Amino acid sequence: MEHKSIALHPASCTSCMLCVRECPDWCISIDAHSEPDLEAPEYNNARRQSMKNVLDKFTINFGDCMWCGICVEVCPFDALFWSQTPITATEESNQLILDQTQLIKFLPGATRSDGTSAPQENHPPSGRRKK
Amino acid sequence: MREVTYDQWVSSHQELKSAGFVRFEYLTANHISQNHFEIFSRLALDDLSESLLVKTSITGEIDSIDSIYTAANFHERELTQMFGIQVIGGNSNELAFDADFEGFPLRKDFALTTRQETPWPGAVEPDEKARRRLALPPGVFETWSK
Repeated sequence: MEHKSIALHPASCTSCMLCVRECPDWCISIDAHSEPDLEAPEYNNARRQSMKNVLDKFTINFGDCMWCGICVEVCPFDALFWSQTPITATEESNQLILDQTQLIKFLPGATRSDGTSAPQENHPPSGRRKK
Repeated sequence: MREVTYDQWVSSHQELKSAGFVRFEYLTANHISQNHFEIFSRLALDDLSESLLVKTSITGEIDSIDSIYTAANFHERELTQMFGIQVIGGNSNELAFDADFEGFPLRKDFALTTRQETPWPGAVEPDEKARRRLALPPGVFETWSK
């Protein structure tokens, strides 16, 4: 297993902020909003509408990242993976800040530390989110 | 690893050098609290087949070993500037930065300016109503705020 970059499967991400808060380098940032969850089961005694977080923007600054993998380990929804695609050199340092549209391209061949392989771009949420 | 007391620091290096540990690899420190530090040096045999870590605990000052290992000179000057450890009998010229720099960057109480100035990305909460408690950045202490 090679650790060349970090891949994101945006459909699995619930914007729970765990990776952002655990990152020792503060290199991950999330923009998200919450909206009513129409797919949530209805409960008779519910007092308020079920809400879900919707991810607007997820960025990893690979200029700051030290490849510690804490974000991959801490993600409870199997949205982050170790990828085999290397980060290419850039002319400007801010081009190392990659957002979800670029991180999703790292998914082919990506795995978690336990060897489970990542879902691909068009796959549904990978794991524990829908259980 | 060989743990020695503060007053055996120089003599144990002398001893190890005559026992064949002629290569000096590095000397570094670990800030424990206030004026309390752990000092480590790594020595190796000439053919690198074996290496040894020598450790001691000090309060603020350490005797220089640069008369035994010349290479220790740079590392001791680094200890002086990065940790504020007084090296007795060593070369006291600045190494890492000018003498007018304030503070000791590798001490645990040194405030990191970027941590003070950068907004913490983890402060964002997608659903403000669901916020249970205020999330604070780990490792950034209140005493750092200006």
